[in-house]
Amino acid sequence: MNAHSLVGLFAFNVVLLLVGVAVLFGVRSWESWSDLLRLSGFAYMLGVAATGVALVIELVAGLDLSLLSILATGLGLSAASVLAGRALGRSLPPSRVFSGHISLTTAIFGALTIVYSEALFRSGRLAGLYDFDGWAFWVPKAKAIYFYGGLDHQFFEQLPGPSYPPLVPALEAAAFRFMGSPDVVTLHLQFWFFFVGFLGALIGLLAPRVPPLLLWPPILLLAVTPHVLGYALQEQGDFVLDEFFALAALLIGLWLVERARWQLAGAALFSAAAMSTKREGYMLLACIAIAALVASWRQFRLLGPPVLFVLAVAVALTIPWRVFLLVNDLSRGGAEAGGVGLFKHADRAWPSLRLAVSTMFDYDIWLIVAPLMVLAIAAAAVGGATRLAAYATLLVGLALAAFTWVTWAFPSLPITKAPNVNPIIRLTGSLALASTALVPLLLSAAWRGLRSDGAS
Amino acid sequence: MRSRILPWAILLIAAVAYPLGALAHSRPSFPNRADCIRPAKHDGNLEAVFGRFATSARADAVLRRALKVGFKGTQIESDGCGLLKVTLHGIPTLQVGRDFIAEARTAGFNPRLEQSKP
Repeated sequence: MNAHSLVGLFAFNVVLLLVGVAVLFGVRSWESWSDLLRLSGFAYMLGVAATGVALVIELVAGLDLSLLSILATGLGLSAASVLAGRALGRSLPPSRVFSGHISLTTAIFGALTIVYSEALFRSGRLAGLYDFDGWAFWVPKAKAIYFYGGLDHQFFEQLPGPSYPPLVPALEAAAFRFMGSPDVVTLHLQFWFFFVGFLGALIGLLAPRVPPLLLWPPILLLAVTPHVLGYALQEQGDFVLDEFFALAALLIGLWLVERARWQLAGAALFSAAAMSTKREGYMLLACIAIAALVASWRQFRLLGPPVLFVLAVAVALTIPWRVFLLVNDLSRGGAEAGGVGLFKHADRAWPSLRLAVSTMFDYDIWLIVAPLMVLAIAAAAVGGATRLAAYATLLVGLALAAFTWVTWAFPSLPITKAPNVNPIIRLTGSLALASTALVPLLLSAAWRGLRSDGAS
Repeated sequence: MRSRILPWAILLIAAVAYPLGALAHSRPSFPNRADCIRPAKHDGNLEAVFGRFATSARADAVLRRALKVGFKGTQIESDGCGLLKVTLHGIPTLQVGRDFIAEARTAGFNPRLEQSKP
């Protein structure tokens, strides 16, 4: 690792942030410059998602991933977003509108988060590439894109996980381009940017809706869970998938309450990015969509079509990759047991469910993230936020069912939490991150409900 | 005015203090192979390492010899720094470890007592 790599990586992430700011202008704009500062994490993650999805489509189309093409992609996305924003009548706030006021509570929790992020950076700055999936296929795919320019489907076919979409390898290869070499040590910091961007996005989205004391502790709790501390910077797709999924789940949750169109646009983009990251993204998006549709059942005519539209847009953005798999006769990554095979392995159903639930509630992996989610759902239901509580309950239930299905439908996976033979811990990461995104919202709704009850 | 500045000052101090503190302690350096060796300093979680090898053939030879003279449970594992170590886990205390090393020396080995990774 050297300063050149660090500067290159920083430049790449500035590009992602700028693209994200343009996308934010296209979907929502901002009321003041402090508003933009608050939403900078969200903007960054929008930039990551938009750039990642675009790079996957370009790779499938046979384009080379050169430095110039990456910059042109960013420029194209930014120009299209700004034009869309202009067409929708958005404008920038006056230059003097900047309210830099933050509360003392926010400053204290913010200081803790900053120190945590710096410590995480320190742990990742010289980390080695030891994790199996990272060196076995995620990073080799990125190196192949970096050295050969595009997707070499014969090479991809030889690696484990050939059906995994190439969003993460594409972003890793883009990071290599900016660093000037395939520096797999410094590359860990790219995942630091993703994680810090994700935390920033959660804080930025929730800060105006949730009191600081209900917002920060759940987020800091997630940040110090053993699994996050041990695996967040690994050069794999799992955490990136979890981050996209959690943001999509949060935006749909916000939309069920507030019904702002930008929330749907953001959810569609993050859902597409999740599905372009790992094939589990399809399963997880289905969980979000079903949870949202069932939770809004009483107003299905009003709320159902937009959710289905988000689903359709997100899936449509992943069609090029599915076509690529089909055309090149690559594995499409179906379940090992097949459709009816589940009945043949019915004896695995209960142990698989027990494994999924016990992993989610395992203190040594996720501390008390899951129990807190259960408490927050109950509190929100008691506080009168029934739709949000129903959505969160369904999301948890469906996600646990999906994790159960994975162990059940792949009989070669032993029923164990051992990370080298069963991906259950990595799978539960998506629900842990989504729970952390929703808990402050649920607690805030409960708090408002209890206060209004007390006042009446 | 103070209430506006104080929160930002807290954030700024947090942002600057940690890197300064970390850099004052030591400059960033890439871990080397010596950093993988953790000499035994206290009871619990100890192992006797018979040697570290770059090839599995050499590690195999030492393992076979150790098993042959009766050091059951000895195994080969990666040391996390690119080498293979021939090691025996499960040594409870420093005293037991010292006794074991003395016994191993009589059999022609020269193991080192180390603290296992947690």
